[in-house]
Amino acid sequence: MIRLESVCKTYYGSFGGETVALDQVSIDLAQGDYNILIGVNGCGKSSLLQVIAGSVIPDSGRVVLNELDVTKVPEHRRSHSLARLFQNPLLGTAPALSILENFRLAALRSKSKGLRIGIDKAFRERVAHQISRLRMGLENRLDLPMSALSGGQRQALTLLMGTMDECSVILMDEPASALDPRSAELVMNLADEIIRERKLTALLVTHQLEDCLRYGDRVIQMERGKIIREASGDAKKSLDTDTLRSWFAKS
Amino acid sequence: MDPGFYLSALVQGLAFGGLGLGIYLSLRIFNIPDITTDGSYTLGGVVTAIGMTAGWPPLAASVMACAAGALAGICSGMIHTRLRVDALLSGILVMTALYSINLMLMGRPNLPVANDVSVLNMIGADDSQTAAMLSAVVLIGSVLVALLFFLRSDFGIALRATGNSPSMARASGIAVNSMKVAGLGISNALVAFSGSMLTQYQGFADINMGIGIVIGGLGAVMVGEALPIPLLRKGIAGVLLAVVLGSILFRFAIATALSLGIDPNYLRLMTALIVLGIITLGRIRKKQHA
Repeated sequence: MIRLESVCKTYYGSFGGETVALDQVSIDLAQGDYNILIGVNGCGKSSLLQVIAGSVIPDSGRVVLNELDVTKVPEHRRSHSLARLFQNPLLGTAPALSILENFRLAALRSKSKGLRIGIDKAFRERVAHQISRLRMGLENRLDLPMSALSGGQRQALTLLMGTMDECSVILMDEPASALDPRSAELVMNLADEIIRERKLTALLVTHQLEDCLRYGDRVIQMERGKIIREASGDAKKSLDTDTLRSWFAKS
Repeated sequence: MDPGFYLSALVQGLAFGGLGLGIYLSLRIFNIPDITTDGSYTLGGVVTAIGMTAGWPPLAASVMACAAGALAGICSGMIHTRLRVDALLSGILVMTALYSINLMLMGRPNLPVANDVSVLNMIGADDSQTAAMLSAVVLIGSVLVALLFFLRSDFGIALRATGNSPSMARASGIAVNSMKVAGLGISNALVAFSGSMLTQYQGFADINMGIGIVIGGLGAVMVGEALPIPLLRKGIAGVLLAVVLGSILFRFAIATALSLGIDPNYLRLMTALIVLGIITLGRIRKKQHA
């Protein structure tokens, strides 16, 4: 499904100095693998997600998606099977466009965007049906611009948009860290529900140790651009916050 | 005041509608202050004058002018996206180059065209000003309808998302760079259409006709956005209509100032001051709301 082979990425600062974001990272994720990615700031978690999504091209190594080598494929050409949730809830939607128009683009992710009016009654009903599961009453306000919604609502909609059609992978970079506790809970539970229901291959970056216990089937820890520890199966199930905290203790 | 004076301002406002819509596309949808405008406006006039001198039907000359304008916009877009030159600088580069190209095309700095048959008298009326007004309404009306359809189509939504949220656009499989090129092409086609209409209206194309014209487009967009009419805030149709109304009001403001006896040599100074005034008023109003 997703395979990284010895992927390296170094950033060179404009004032000199270099940061090794990914150092010979190899990882193999099968369809339906549900992973939680943790690690201190700057350990390479976000870079790992960006390399998979294509917003960062690695210096060396290979990125394989669905048995296709996509190492050099630009972001917009691999987005059709990838859903992404950013830390900033404003990044996943276009604020000046209506809810309906945002969903239209999501529906056309892997298709050409032609000169035809694609928003018809059937499409409107389909989107309304999908949004009704949020129980936010947004299904009756489809023509509202995205900018009128709260961060939590926008993040929840981004999630639905990303997973509305063919989608096999979801990459989430601290999707709830900018949200209030109630919205955070709602977005995380919705993500969890969709991942289980659709058997998506998931990578969730988080700093909340409780998230590691509640969600996912495997916990992966990174440090200085390397994967240094992981726990899956029964080892993951028996984790507790104290154990996780000890992972972060200075070695 | 003589009614013909205001009728003339109205025709000019309508003819400059394309300019306003073009600037709206580049400035508001892509956040690019596109200076190519100055060159592509003249290019539209130049192509029209050459075409009509060669005996093309007026409408065909206008269509060719749009095509030439689109090409200029595409050049700016390519320089910006492929060579990664700052958007403002790419516009300045193309605008500068167009000055020579326009001179080369015309072979001299000024080319008169016979305007007894033009796009501005497609519709007959008792006097020529009324005919020009009616024709301009029909032309700009058609452009509005076409642009509205375009911006609401799947392609148009993708285009609007590109300028609005590049991260979302990429995640939606949109080739952001190609969209920018296409957007600048369309924007400059609209600008060139204005150049073509004005050339047919005044009966000549001039190498300097485009200098500082971008300000007129900005003025139209800003006046349109400042109009306190709720209907004009509703959706993309309202916004486009507001820009055309803004263009008309902007020309009225200039015509009024001229009628007060301001020296035409100070026209551009005045235009710049009017736009500055609108921007400042907008800022003050925003502060009061906040």
